[in-house]
Amino acid sequence: MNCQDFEQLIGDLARRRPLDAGARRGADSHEQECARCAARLADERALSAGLKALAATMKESEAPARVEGALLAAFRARAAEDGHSAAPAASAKAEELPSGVLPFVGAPNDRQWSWRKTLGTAATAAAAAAVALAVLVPKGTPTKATKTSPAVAAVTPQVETTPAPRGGESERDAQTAQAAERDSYEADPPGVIPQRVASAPRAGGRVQAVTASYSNGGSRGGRQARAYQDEPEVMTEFFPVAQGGGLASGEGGHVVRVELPRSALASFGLPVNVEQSGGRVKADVLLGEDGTARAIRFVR
Amino acid sequence: MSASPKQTDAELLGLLLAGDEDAFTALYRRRQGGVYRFALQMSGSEALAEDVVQEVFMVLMRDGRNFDPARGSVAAYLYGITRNHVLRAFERERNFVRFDGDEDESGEAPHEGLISREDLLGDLTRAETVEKLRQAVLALPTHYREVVVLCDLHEMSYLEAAAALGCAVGTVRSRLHRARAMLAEKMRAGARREAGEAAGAVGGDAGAAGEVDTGRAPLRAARCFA
Repeated sequence: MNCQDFEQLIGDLARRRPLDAGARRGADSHEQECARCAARLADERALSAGLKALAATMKESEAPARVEGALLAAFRARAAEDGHSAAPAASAKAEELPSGVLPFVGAPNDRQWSWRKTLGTAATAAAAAAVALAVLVPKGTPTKATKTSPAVAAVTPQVETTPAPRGGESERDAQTAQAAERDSYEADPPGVIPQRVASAPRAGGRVQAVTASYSNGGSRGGRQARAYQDEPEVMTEFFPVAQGGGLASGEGGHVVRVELPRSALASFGLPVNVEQSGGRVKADVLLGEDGTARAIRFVR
Repeated sequence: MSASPKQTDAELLGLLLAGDEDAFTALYRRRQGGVYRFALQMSGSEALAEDVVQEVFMVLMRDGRNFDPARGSVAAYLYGITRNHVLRAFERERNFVRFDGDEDESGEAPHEGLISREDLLGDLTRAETVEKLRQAVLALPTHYREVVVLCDLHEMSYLEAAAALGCAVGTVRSRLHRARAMLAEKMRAGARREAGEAAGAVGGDAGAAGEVDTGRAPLRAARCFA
């Protein structure tokens, strides 16, 4: 074996990859004879050891638990959408799951009472229903009034949310966040990622609503993304969900966009347009750091 | 049929595509760490890695039927998706990691801007060296970085790495060889710099110190990894 042959094998030798016996003997022999190649191999082994140490420092690195929570939410929403029977499995494991994890997906009959119970407060807010009706009116109707309605704010959970645009700096922040999100989606290939969690900035325990335009399947090309920019989303305030309502002070959160059967609106005491009752409605679910759903708002 | 820890990735994938939440959870918990670390080691950003994990598994639940066992393992498939999302994220956030001359294959430290300029006069502890190596890996051009991350940090075989990257095994081998040479050179250059600065500080003969011999000194520096 000459130096060139040795060089071909040096990576495998340094990383202790399996070599055939003949090649191994030849390499060992050459290492004994050639000081330069021996030094070169020592360097490679040192590099391998360093890389191994580097890998070891990151061995325990994992995605935070909230990612799993968000993905499970998306999985259930998707399963419900596809008509899979994920809901029974989820029901059976309800005790194992953190409370409040997206109780709105799955078989509606199993869950309906829970929704009503949890959101009894919201249901009693008749004014909120009236405002929500304004949110859900057909496109083209002015919707500005819905954004700052005190009636809707009355059913906002204890979560300190920074609702979408309200003027001043928060409006600019929200617009920036929206633009950033839209930019990121423009780069996505068509149809990628029907739902997506947006990291909410953590500042003084306030969860800033990060809004984005989503499409479920179909093209999500730049043209469509730009089209959304001309048609701002309108959304309700957040409604508390199950027992998880509210984020603790200082706790961060995430917002995940999902699509639900339009009938879910009724569970929150919101009116449902009978003509569109078979359709779907977009919603943002606020997840706590532990992945449990804390609040929900509907989006149009 | 429900998921169990003994089931293969491919079996879990089949179940999750049929709507089995347990299978999704099992596969996620089994593979998310590798996906997260790959994204983290490629980008150096926990936030990006978190986003990528999310995107990868969203793609899996939507497009998992595209998995072809003939082309590689589920793990390789996931790494391939991860890689695509990381590269796409780089495209979106070009200022996230500065890539001056990213495709420069000359090996002439194309990403020096990413390497820490911190004072290295103190003793080089193992942790410090590993940190410098981490930065050196991050500073490699992307197509070299990914083979180092897969083959060295994740200890993938050439075949698995080739499946994940969608290239030939020979390409993986040659890129890895080149990448390691670049890494070694970066570490040597760092050691030379340190030696020069140390000599300058001690003897004041900076001119002589700057001409540290390029023979054995680099080898000694490289061995401090071990």
